[in-house]
Amino acid sequence: MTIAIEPVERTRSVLRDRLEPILGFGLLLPSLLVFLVFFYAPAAFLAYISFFHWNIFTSQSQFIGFGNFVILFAQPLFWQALLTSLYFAAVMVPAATLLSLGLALLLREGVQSRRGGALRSMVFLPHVTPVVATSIIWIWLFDPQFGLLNSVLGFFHLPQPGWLASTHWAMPAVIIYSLWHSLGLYTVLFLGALATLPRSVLEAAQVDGAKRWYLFRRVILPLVSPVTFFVVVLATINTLQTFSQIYALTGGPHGGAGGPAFTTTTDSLLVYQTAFLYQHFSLASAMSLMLFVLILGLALIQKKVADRFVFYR
Amino acid sequence: MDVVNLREVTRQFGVQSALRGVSFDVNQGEFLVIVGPSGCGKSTVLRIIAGLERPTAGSVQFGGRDAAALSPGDRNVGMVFQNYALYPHLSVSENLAFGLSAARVPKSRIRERVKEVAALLELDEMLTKKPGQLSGGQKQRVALGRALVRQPVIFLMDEPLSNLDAVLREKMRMDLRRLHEQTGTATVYVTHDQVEAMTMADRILVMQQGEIHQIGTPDEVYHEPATLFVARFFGAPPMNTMNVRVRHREGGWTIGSPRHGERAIITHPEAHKAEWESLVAESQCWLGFRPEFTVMGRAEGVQFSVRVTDVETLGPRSHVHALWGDDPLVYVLEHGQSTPERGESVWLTAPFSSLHWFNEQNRRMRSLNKIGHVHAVPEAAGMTNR
Repeated sequence: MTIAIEPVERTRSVLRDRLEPILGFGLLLPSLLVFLVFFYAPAAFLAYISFFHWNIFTSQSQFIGFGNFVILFAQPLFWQALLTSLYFAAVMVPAATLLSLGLALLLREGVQSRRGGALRSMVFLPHVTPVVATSIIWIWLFDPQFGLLNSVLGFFHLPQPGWLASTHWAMPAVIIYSLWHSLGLYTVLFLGALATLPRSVLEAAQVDGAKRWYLFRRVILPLVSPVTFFVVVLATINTLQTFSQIYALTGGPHGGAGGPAFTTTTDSLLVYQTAFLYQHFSLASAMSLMLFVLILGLALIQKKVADRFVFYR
Repeated sequence: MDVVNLREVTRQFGVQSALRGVSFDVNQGEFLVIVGPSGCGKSTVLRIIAGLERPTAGSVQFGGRDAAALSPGDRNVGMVFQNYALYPHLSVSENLAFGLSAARVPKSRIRERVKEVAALLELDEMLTKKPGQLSGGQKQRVALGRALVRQPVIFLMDEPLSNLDAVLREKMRMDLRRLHEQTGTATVYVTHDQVEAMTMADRILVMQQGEIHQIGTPDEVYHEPATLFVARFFGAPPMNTMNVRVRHREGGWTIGSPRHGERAIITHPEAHKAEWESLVAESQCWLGFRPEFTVMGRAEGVQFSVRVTDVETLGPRSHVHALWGDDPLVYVLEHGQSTPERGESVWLTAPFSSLHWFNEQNRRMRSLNKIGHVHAVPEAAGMTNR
């Protein structure tokens, strides 16, 4: 039995009040420097060169204003890549959020037991595997003729798609791999949220006669909503920035990455190809900037929506 | 018909027993307080009644029917948790309505009930607020309201006042009693606070280490403690208890301490010959008397020669701490009585009527009522479970 004791407000010295902001800033400084050098400066530089016709070798770069953006908007491939990115995100974000929440709910009981740690590790494991290495394994799994996936589908007399070789099924294949690789992270986030639910509140709901679904809808879901919001934003950002698995999965024996027929060419991949394949850095920078604006815009919309549904304890 | 019966309820957590064969009945309309120190199993009893925990063995009955198959929500109990356990994301009125909506009660009926309960508990002003915006006392009232709204067959309260400050706690004690009288719903109230138990209970159930020591009215528990533990648990300052031996000496009897050898004097021992004789038969026993029923100086009863170690002045009365040999004891002086100096040796008399005797197993020796308790309470069957 615990007795809650009201915390006593400590009297603080004037000196401490003065020193505290300095100390706080001092503690922030190292990471601030790292961010400045490796994040803010390159980002600013990127924004800067997107207004030039940039040349890395001669630095005879030419200011062309919004020229890069004009070129970009005239490119059908840019718009197609944008749609592909949005398609990817539109499936990934809800699927990742719902599946990881469901997985977390299933694992919740287990996590409280002694084997909880092992279970949690197992779920988290795919997330710590190297993307390129596991992508190669998944290429084999996805193989239309000899892959495990189609063998299983064939066994149940289900249609066997061409997966990475098919213009319709390449993107779903990328999504399946991405779900496999990222669910662990989101599930662990949800498990953490579920573990911090106040036990007595759940018990009060049980005594109040709340059955499974009612308990989930009226108590659990609202109380984990901050984490749900976090997972949605994180999944959106991660998805729109996805590069490695698309490059690895679609590169291989099926020709250039992003295929077949550009159906898996997302904005991120296009940025990479424009910069490092076609050496057009300023165009790639302009594209990155547009991607940044897109992600920021989506995050802001999500925040707006979240303000109505998310409850912060 | 009793509201709830527990029969030989046992609860084990791994190798540890939280409850060992607990049996009692909750009568219609009574206010039953379960009291005991931390970890005695009193909250576990409450949670087993609510259905939040299952007994390892034994049964719980609601209205005579076995409740093993009933989920917490099907038992129609109203529970108030120590930390209130309000739904933090719901407004006060949604908190109150929660159970009714879960049971798919029509909306108009829910509104009606919420209104009634809000009026009863003076919650009308804060129906749209969230729990985070309420004070401790207000949250407490919402928690009560949530239990009340479903008109449960029994209220279960788990230390509901322990998070409130002293002034509010005292007010809520009376409010809860008044509410109980209004609703007439049987209540099981768990607390570790003997004052709450004494002031609120119709009956008190005293627990220690998963066992029931006594069930009785506050008067019985105070004047006729069934065990040494109960004797020491109630009263402030607590009862003086000492390990003693009664022996023949010079044609009479003496009460001596086997540890430090001090002897107390018995006046008129021949009056209770048979009783003293029966005490001689016990190799050891416990003698207890309350600090507030002592007499200064040498009077009729058992006289102790004690050395004063400390005097606490409380205004209307003083508590004198003293040593009999090395047995510490306390006695109470009313305002106006002369207080002794620290270190002074004085005589203290425990009148025969104030004596409590417990055997080596720490159980009350009832046969000694004549020299122990004269204010005899009829031995109603079922008052104690031993």
